[in-house]
Amino acid sequence: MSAILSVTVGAALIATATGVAGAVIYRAARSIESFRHDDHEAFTSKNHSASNGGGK
Amino acid sequence: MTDGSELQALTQEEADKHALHHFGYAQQLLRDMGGFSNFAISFSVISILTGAVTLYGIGLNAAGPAVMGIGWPFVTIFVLLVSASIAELASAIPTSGALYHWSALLGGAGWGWITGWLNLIGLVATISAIDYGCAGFLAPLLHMPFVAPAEVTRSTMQVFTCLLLSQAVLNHVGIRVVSKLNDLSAWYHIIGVVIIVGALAFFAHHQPIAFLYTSHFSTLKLGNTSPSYGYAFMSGLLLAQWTYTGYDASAHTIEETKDARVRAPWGIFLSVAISGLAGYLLISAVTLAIKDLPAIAGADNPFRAVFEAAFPHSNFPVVVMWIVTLAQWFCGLACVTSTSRMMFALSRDKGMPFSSTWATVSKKYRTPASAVWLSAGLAFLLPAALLLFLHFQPHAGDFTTLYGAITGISTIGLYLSYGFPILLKLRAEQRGTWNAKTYGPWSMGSWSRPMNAIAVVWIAFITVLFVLPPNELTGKVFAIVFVLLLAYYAVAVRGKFKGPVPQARSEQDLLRMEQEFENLSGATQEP
Repeated sequence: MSAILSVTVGAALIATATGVAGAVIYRAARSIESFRHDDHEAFTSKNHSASNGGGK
Repeated sequence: MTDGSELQALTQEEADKHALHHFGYAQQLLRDMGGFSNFAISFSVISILTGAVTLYGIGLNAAGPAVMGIGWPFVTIFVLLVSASIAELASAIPTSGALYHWSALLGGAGWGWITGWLNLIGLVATISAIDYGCAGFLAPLLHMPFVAPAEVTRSTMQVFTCLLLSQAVLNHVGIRVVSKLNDLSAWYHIIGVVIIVGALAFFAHHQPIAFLYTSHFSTLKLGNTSPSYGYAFMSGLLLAQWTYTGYDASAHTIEETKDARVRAPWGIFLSVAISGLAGYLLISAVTLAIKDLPAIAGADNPFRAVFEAAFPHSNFPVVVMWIVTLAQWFCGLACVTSTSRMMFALSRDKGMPFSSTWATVSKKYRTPASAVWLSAGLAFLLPAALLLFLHFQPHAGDFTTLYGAITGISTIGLYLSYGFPILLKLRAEQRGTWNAKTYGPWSMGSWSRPMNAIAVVWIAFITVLFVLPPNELTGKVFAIVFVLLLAYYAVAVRGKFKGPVPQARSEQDLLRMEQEFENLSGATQEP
């Protein structure tokens, strides 16, 4: 690869990594804000027995 | 059980206990870690000053500076997605068994058992690799009798044993002291990176930025042939991938973290994100300071060689080695914490031989003391057993190559144990047993499924990459271990291991257990 192309690819990757990190942080922060304990269903044995049909 | 309307009014401590009670467990471990401490433990296990330094030569020789300039951010993107996928599982199911427990709930006891054991094998091998590597750095710094870094000497084993003992004792006596040391470790890593990057930036020779993206250099040989640059570059990606391991530590200490459902997921994700940034600065600065690329790549320790060439007639390379060595000790300390919590959780559900012993909690310190000593003991046995084997079979190979192959399975074990619960969560979503209400407060919402899917594909890709030449010996060792695990499961575990076992039938019983434990703990601490 030529030097210019290599630098461009590197810069694009750094920008993408930063973007992914920022986007996940933004999305998780929104999800924490809107979370309601009384609307939450714990994934416990009830779900487990339903999902265990095809398991080992 | 507490009804929905009362839940919003619970104190944070009650909410944490209530979340644990949902899964049938009592609060036995001391919940004393804050958000920074939870982040710090994963950040310490990833330890950019350990992974990115000790593996620097492997990456540089595989495909030159482009491994640092292009490979590191490329791998970081996918590891961020893996960590985010694990983080939302930790938020939904906040128990210290973490990966094991998630797989067991999502896929059944068999999936849970294999995930737990792969995770455990990965963690124990990590402690062995980190502490033995640390001993190899420390022995010459202490001017102990030492022949060569690649040669097994008595002094290296002595230092290795002392390091393990120090980490086990600290983990035995309490999460408070360990979490304070982990906090210190996080700052230490940041300051260490600032010192190294600062010194290189202000006092060393610099290459132009384009040098960081040099994509034609490789010394990689497969037998007598040189592979294509593309293959060599992919092999070089392992530098970053090997560094990014162990961030599940934040999930293993989730029962000791306040506001666990929010802070532990942040700990998992941010430890990767900040390691990505700091690690990139570190390896970029080191690479840009290279004067003679073939000479540095050909050195015994290319990382150290960069500093020796950049700072001739100076003690700075020795200072850097001390910085790195202490970082490795911090990394080992956090690894013992993480491993012991995993063992405790698997034993609590009777997933290990002599489970009742490893599931005991010190009444005085409220730590899983037996599991701490077992973690350190198994980590010690790994090189000791290999040395004994080579004593009787001296022609089987050299210690360094075999030990590298054995400890190399740590990353495969860890990443498979990350991948299984993510895959099972996708399957549960497909079947409708996992829905929008099942997520904890930390989630990626509608982005979750595509992110999870990319994370699983990435794990499948790197698992193959981990065992391709020149790492085929690691692949063979892993295949043997995996077959032995499956055989053990089929013969002795299947049908007997039931997966997560509630410690009591009702929340009242769990509260009673906790009260009894607190009374005993209080009585033991009285003078």
